[in-house]
Amino acid sequence: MTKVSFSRLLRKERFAFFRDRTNIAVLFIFLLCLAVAGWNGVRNANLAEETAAVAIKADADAFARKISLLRQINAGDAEPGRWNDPRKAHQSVLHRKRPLTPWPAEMRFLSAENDPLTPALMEVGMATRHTNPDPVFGDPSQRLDGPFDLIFVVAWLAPLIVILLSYDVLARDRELGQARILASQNVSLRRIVLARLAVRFISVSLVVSGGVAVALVLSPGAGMASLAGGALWLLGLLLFLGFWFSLSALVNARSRNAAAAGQTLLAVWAGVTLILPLLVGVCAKVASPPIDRFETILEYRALSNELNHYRDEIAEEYFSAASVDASREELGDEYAQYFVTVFYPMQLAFDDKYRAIGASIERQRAEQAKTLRIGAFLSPALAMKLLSDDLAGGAPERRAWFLRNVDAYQDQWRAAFDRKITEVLPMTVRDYEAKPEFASRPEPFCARWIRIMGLLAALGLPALIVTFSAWRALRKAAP
Amino acid sequence: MLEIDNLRKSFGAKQALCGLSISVAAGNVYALLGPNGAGKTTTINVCLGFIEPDQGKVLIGDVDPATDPMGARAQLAYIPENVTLYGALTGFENLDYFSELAGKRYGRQDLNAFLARAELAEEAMSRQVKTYSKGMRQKVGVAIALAKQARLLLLDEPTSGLDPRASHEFSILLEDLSKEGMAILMATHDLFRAREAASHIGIMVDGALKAEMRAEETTSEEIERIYLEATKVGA
Repeated sequence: MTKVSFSRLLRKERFAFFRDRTNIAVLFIFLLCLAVAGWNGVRNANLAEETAAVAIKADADAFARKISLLRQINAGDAEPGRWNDPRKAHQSVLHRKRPLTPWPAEMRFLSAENDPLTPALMEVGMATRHTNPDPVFGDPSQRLDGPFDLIFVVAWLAPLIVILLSYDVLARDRELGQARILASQNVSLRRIVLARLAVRFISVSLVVSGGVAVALVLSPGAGMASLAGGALWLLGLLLFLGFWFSLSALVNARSRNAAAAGQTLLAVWAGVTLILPLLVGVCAKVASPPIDRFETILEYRALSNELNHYRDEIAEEYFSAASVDASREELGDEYAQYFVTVFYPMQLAFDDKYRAIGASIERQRAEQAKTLRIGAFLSPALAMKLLSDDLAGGAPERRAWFLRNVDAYQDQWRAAFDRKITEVLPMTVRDYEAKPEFASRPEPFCARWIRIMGLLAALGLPALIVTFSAWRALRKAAP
Repeated sequence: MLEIDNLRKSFGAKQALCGLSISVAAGNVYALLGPNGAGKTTTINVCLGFIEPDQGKVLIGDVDPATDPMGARAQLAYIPENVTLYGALTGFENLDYFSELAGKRYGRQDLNAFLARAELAEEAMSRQVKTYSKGMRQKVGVAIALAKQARLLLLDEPTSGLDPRASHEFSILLEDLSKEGMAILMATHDLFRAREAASHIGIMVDGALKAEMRAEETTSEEIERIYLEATKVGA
């Protein structure tokens, strides 16, 4: 008996697969979706880089002008303006927005969300990010839907493509009686199904990874980290596709009708991709209820009113702690008087109080994210979405880490200018040159990779279980 | 080539085969006649190793499909009532595909020769199978069996739905194959074609052989009479 080699079987199945125009059309449509989604993501990543670069340059230019003007004033070559006196610390550091480099992400182009853009401009100055309570970063549970990007196409759409290409991989043959001829040959049905699915698996994987590789090359700042992230993402993708193809094999092993097999797979898709993530999202919200926006505003206003009520006491307390006379004549105009003696101490007091509210929001978001990651073990689509989101920089933990960096920078900034403002000391060129610069330190390696490994496990476990079940079912499959 | 000995198989309370014994030697065509539900397809399924018998034994050559289904399948070819094939592939490509599954490797000329031998028109060989008639698909099925170089051919209602000419051509083809030493077991309802193509005829009712005869020693009318008597309710 001549043994049929798997590689030759694979070659024949590949030929048969690509002879069917429907398969080519499905792959082409999928490629088109990937191209549009990839383009959206790359454009978004480029925009994020450009916005940050423009903001950083504008900031650097503004300070360069201040230093230049200060040098001219010191040399007696220029007169300071009323609103443009680089010697006055409160004027110099009043910038409400400081350009902050977006936090690093291995594959930012996977996402076309606007969120990663926003950190380019955040309030770090005399005012802080807490002054503006706009929820710049949404709740993790709200991120389950999103724009047409690679995350959406891969996590939501790719399973449908897998179903379209493989729902009838054996069931159609059974329905038409063809499976009996197949089974009467010198090769088992299991090997035939395996070869068919392998051809489809390789085709879909190549299309996706090819599309993502092009996006990776076109996106800004691609480096070793992107390659490492890309390798992990590819592993996740293979596990994810493996789950769906194995599921297809399992359903085909039990179904005698292609339409019924297709319906079953679509029902599972709806359950795994739509309903389960929705339920997990509901669980996340119930377990860690989102901070009510209205309540936050009320709290913010109550705090503001309270501080305003006690503003004289607050200012007095602040200046007595700094051993400075708060009613100084040298401040000159009324605006400077107000700014230094009222606004600034109030801002500090407000910021201290509001940090507690900010921290509770962060805690609630971290809890939600945790629930979603546990829920990801129930839904490979959710796991793939979270994995992609993480590598694109959208994980709540990355944001939280970035915000901690921002707060640390805020403290540095204050430490550098606080004395100059409080004691109304003139700024020097050296002060400007020594001003703290923001550096977005990456989240610790371990925290990042442990999280990603957890999501890979959430993808691998169901893939393994379904593959094993399909393998057993196909062994017993009758023609 | 094919030995079926005291074969028994039941599905729940329903006895599909009750002690069936048949022997088909090389060069013989055995037509298994019987009404629906007589157990003809079950017999073929057991021969193919798709189902295991409860009792009895089948030998294809000297291989038992119940213990070595792949070994048994290597020696046989099977043509069902409906040969659907893959519509997107041409007749030639379908043959190439199934030959590969049978573990055979042929060149273009050999494959064309098999199709020609099965009397598929040359212009049809490079056409997609979805444009074929049932008779043409059946011919590709025969070519697949030829390419497999099987020693035993199992046919399940092969002439059902074919026009008289196609059925006649099919009978001639079976005769040619049997002359080359192939053993053929054919399950059919068609008494006339059974008489035309077979060397032996068995009439099967309720999983057991009720009558067995040599085709050359009987007439179509005789077969019909025996068939009707054997299948009469309460017989």
